[in-house]
Amino acid sequence: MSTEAKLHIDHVTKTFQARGAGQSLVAVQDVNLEIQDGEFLVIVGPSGCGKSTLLDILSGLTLPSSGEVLIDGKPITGPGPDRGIVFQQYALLPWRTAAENLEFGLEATGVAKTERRERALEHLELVGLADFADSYPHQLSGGMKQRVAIARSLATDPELLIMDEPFGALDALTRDALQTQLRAIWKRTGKTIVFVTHGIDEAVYLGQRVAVMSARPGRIKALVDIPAWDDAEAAEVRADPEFGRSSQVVWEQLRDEIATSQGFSATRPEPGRAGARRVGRTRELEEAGSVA
Amino acid sequence: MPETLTTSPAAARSSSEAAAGPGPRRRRLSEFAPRLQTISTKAFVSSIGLIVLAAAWQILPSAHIVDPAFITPLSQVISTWWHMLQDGSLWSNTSTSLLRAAIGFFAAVIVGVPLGLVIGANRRAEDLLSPVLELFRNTAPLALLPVFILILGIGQVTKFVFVGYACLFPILLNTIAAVRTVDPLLVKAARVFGYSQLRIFQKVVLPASVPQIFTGIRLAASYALLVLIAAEYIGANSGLGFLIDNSEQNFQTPMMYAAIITMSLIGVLINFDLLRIERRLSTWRTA
Repeated sequence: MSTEAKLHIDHVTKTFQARGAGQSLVAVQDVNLEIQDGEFLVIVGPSGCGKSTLLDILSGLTLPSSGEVLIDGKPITGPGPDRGIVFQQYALLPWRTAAENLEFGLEATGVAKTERRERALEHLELVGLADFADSYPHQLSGGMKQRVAIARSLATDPELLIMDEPFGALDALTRDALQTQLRAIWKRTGKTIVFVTHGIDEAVYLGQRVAVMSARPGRIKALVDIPAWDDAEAAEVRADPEFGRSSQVVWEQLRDEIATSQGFSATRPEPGRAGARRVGRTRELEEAGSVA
Repeated sequence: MPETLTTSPAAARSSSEAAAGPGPRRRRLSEFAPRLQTISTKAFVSSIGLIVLAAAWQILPSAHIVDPAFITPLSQVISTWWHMLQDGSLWSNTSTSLLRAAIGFFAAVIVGVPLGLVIGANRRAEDLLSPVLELFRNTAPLALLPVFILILGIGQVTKFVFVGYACLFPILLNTIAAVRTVDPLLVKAARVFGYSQLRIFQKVVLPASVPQIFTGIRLAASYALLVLIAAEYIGANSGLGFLIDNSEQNFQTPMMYAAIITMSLIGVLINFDLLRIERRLSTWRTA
């Protein structure tokens, strides 16, 4: 194990007790990953492969059943200001303006009031929303809300930025624009980012490495190195033949896993993808609640 | 709406307007005219019902289609109302009722909101209490009025306690529901930032609950007058309920209707004000 890794995921396994049935469910099995300082790592995997569980472990909302996660060499035992999370559904406080939402993160760490405002405005500027400091979330579009959420996570200056399918709820054009912007922000701030997505294009465009997870129980099946793209917009990079080759590699790794996970839902008359995912989420939330 | 990623102020501002809807920008008169017309049409349509009611109330008894001894013509009710307003009997009874309702109502708010917050935040407390609450909620407060009179007699205290009891349930149940239905993702986000349970309650759960708590408070306010009037029928020698009941028993029908109208107007007024406050508190809930 190298000591300079920013984040060290060491033999992490997470098992849930399925309610009623008395059997346990292995969500994440023996995951090992090392993420370097300033790296952009993307995790892709079929639905229900335990990506969200893994992110909950990284964020400290839930503890692994075995194994451990080290950040800067120190084990994660709970949530902390050294990690910021961006959720798919933004999670902005609807009764607070954009700037006040950024301040919400800073209040937790006890930053003085005037400095909170300064840092909030500074980070809204970073995502190009300085003019919307006093707008409420319901006055903003989905893409703008997500930019506020990204700014909020960056404002606390975390060591690690965790992004859980952040662009999943956005339309294709907005997603493209935000991908380009996120890459620019990453280059500018030098943050270490762990980004989860369903989209292979998104993964190959954003990531320096792409970790492919297997169908449940979730393991890291493959790590794909991605060439460094020029500073270009997502649409231009996608036209690069090298991009196509990388996507192909990731796709081939992913294909069998998707088949496996779909085979699951074919044998068991389960609701659709979204329904199954929600069930998983709820259980994880409850589990996380009982830990706290 | 178009998604703008530019930071240029002009482009940003135009998209701000699109996103924020009608803001404080200046409007030309031509934009107002059709709006004004819609408003007046709407006002006309919604007043038709009231006009028809008033006309029927006036014409039917005057034409002896219904017995004017039972249903006094509206004009006579209004003149009686005016007379009562001038001799002070209307105000003294109204103020008595309002004071009683207010004391019971505020007591219910002071007890109900904190209690609801505690119960809502504590799953075990809710599991324990919800069957009991459900039982009481489905028991009409008026059915319990005799019990209150039996225990507390027919003094002032009975009325405060009874109004307070009736107001407690909408406040309590709405507060519990408000706390329980806070978006779990917001709580999760707060935990990720490292907030403690207590501060999550203060910074997330409480503000998120305000609109629904206020819905409970508004319902309680209308309950307060409703049940008080009934309580004043049974054991009182002042108040609007007493006035209605007493006038009826003495065949002073115009006075009875004057008191009823007063009560309705107060109810409408209170509800209107509270609705306005409620809307202001929950602007962020829309969209």
